[in-house]
Amino acid sequence: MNILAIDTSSKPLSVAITADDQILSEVTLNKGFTHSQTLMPTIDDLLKLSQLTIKDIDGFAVAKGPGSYTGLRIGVTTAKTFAWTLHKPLFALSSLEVLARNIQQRSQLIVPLMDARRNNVFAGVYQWTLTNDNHLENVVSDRHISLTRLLAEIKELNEKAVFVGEIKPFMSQIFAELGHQAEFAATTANLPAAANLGLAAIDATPIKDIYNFTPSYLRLTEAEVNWQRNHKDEGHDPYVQEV
Amino acid sequence: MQTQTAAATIALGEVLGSQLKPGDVILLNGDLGAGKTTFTKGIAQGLGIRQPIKSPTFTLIREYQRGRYPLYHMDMYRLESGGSADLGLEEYFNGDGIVVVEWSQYIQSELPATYLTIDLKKDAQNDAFRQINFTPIGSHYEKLVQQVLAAYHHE
Amino acid sequence: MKATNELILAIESSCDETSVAVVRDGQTILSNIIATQINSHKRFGGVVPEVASRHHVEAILVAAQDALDEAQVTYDDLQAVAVTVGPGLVGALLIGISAAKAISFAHSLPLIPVNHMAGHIYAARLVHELTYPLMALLVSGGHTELVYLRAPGEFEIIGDTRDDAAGEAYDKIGRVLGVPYPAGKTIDAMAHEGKDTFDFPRAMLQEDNLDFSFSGLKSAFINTVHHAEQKQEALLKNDLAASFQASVIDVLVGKTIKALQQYPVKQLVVAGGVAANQGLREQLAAHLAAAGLDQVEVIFPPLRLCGDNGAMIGAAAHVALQKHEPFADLTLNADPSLSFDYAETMLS
Repeated sequence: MNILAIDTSSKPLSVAITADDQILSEVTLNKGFTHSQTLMPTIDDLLKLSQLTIKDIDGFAVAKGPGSYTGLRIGVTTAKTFAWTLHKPLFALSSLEVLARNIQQRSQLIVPLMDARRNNVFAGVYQWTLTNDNHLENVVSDRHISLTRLLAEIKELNEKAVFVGEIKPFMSQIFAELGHQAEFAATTANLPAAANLGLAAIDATPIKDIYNFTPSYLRLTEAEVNWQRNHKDEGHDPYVQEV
Repeated sequence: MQTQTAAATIALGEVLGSQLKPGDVILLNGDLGAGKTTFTKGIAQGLGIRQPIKSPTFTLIREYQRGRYPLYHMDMYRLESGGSADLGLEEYFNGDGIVVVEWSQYIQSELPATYLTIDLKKDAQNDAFRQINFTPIGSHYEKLVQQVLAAYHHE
Repeated sequence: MKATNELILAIESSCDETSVAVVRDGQTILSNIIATQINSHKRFGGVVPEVASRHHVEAILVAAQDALDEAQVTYDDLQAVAVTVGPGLVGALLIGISAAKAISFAHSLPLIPVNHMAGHIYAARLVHELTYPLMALLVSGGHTELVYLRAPGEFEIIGDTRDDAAGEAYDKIGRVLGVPYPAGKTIDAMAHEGKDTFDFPRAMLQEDNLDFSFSGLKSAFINTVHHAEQKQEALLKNDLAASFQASVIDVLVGKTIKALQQYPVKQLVVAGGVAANQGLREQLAAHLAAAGLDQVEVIFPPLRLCGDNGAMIGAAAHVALQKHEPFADLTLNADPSLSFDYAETMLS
């Protein structure tokens, strides 16, 4: 099964083609270009270099979030439109899990994180299952959380934890709080690798409702938060409505 | 500073525009009709932009790419109910152009550490007169204001 | 024109409507699915960009599927995919663009980038044959422009607002009047119940140029209401609405007539959301006759085609296709500040 895997959830762009448990090709761009300009040309190049056409792809996999909102929407819209228009299955994986899959240490906790600004992060806690070598267990769900709180929680878990992802700005803070309980991923592991996404997809359940599939933003919009604060949930007309 | 005609307000904006460099951030404050758009027209002229400058309220940000540097003219009026954190504004503030922000009070939490605030106020006695105050935050903007005032008085 | 049976799948997502259409030869609508987000944004008193983008992701494939089903076409029947690239909200535009790119790439169809404002003008093509040169008055929430078309697809802005767009002024004074967003339709109805008693300024009407300005009117309106509040006077809201609308329409009509006198054309297309305004429709007809311009045929697209919709994008894409304009490549990006070229006289 050929899978085209797309991760545009943060600043780097990663696209890969996998065939069952083989990686056929992968490109990761980390030059800060806009995903809208680079995603499709990268897909096109990768298919050509792999001597495949889009019709040879049997399924599409996407990093569904959390991450940068605009980036997520570009990846998710592209992947779900491909799956829909070509009648192929769509697979979606947490973008934090995609990062966690860069870490091979099987006995430690893995803490993938992304910078959510003002000392907040998107983060989760993962651990490889010893019985199934392609299954990464989500120990603590992905969340939008202050770094301080996250570190306090990890401290309580009292196990070695490998931090991976956008860790650079937070390293000293993490080390100050956790000391040698914390380990840091090597530079090469801190960028998302879409091949991990493609390889994980073979064991994943396809998305049932492609139409209504949306990114996992993990945060309401600011406007929505303010609105809900002042309004009880009294039900409402559909927010999006064909007219 | 006081200007007595719209043309003088534009001229002052033009002097400022000619001194601006990529990455500069200008916050324009003033009530409706105080002349924020007029002043921005001047800035655009100083940057060599020939296109008409219009209110960016509808799309929040209007980009003018045909001058010496890009000009990003933002009007955050529609963000009164929130939403600034979702806009990715930091890319503009750290970007390749000059950013002019109207109604910046709605994006307080997104603003960079240093910027130049310009307050425009209609004169109570004379409708055409404008009181224009520069408040630079950070040494870069202090220097900029000195240059602008020197150049303006020299003209 | 020779019937080519050319079918275009067109996608529009520049603001708060997700729309997908199938259009034949740029004039026949086979389907035009419009999913509006108005119920969501009215909570906030205006379109919130991030909320709009999120809704587009929910709605885009449902609209696309419905458009294909209703038109009863398959990808093999299509000649091209068209998409709005701007002007509009960048995050919203990117949803339509991402979907359009994927469809065009998956089925090896050319991708036609469309200026949203060209779409508004060419909505008229869906109801009427157009002859050139042609004048268009574009009035919407974000635009107030007079556009001259020498030939199909050749747009030149000859008049523009110096500040706010007409639709924007409606929404801003709507807040003052306590009219819920979007205010245009309600103010139009209120205006019909009231009289023009306040005599608000008609900005720039006496000047020779073809430009508009509505920010002075907005300020005059707000000042009038505030003064009355301070004196605890009650003002008739319908009269306020009527006076405001009379000023907007006088300026729109006055400048349009000036434009038609300077640029002789056979047809005038009035397009964009504000083209739905009844007062504008009535006054324009009356004043054209009075100015001896009754030979100019005025085309108002039907209400459904005045708002944002995919069919108008398909109509504009057809014109681009006929003119052999270059297709978009895979790097296509949103252009939120996209604009037609300005006439040389408009540049400073």
